[in-house]
Amino acid sequence: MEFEEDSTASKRMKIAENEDPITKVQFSALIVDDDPLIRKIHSEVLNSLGFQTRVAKSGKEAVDLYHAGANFDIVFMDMQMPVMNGIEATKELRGMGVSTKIVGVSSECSESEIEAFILAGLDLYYAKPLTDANKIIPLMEDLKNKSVPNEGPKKTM
Amino acid sequence: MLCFYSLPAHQLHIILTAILLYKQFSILHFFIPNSHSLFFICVHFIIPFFSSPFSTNKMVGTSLEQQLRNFLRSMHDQGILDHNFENVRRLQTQGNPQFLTEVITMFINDADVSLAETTRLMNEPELDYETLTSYLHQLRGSSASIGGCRMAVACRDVRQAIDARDKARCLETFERVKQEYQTLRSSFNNILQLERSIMAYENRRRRG
Repeated sequence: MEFEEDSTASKRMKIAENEDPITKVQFSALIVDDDPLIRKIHSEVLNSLGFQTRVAKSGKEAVDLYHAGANFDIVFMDMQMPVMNGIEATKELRGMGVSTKIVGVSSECSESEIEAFILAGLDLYYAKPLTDANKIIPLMEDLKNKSVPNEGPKKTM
Repeated sequence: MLCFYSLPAHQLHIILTAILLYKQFSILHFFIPNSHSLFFICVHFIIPFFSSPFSTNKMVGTSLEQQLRNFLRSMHDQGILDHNFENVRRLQTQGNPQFLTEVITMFINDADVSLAETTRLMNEPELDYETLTSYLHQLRGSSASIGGCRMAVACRDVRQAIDARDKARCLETFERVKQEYQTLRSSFNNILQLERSIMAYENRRRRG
């Protein structure tokens, strides 16, 4: 592991506007996790790449946001949450017709749990912790290449 | 001569250099300064170099940075911190200069609460395995996300003991979690102290 040689606060402090503009795009992301520390870290990882982020503390809160008309380019969904876990929330969103890219993010998952999470409607699964911005860049490429705009919940009469 | 040494070192340097140059230019037929002048040059160039405010402060800043690098390397070598900590640290920018402090503070505050509650549950005659699972899941996730890998591994061991419903092993492995947390907490406090010192130095330097 390499530690930054320029580890002074001033050298590490980069002005956001001077960073590589290629990675700076205006996508929106919803981070769903019951742990405030995880929400903060994941938000900052995405913010550093130019995402506008919003957080939800549970699967239910995420579903309620979509019911209220919110929409996002990508959702990062934790699996183990109280009230409504990630599997239930993903099933609910897909049942509503939400086609947003949903990335499952969790730890301590067995193979069967990961499989169930994916079958619920995930596009991708990442093991926690998600602190490396480099893992997000391929997702951004996918979002840029996506030709069909994200659809919110389909309303049935 | 003694009165000169009461002046600030950088001012002393300028004055002595001016005096020396005047002396030398007034005796143009000497190619080589006599031994006394040579001694005068050496002493009064060497002392200011090491004692001027600019060079001293620069050495302090470099020393603090080196201390922090050495400390982080040591934490990594001991397995206390992993690459996730460095990833989180890199998220601190000029637009968000308190990010690392906020994250570490949040981690410590939440962990203090969770560990206190887990300790209470572990002291019950009958263990509430479901609630313990929830707390250990949170502790493991947060410690892993902030790079506290040894603590995260210790939490995993408790989870396995909980899954096995092995009370003795739960208690034993939880003691390890508490020890690793104290080590991690102490490490973070050292890191924050060094970061604050570096920040203070940088602010003083920018103000000139």
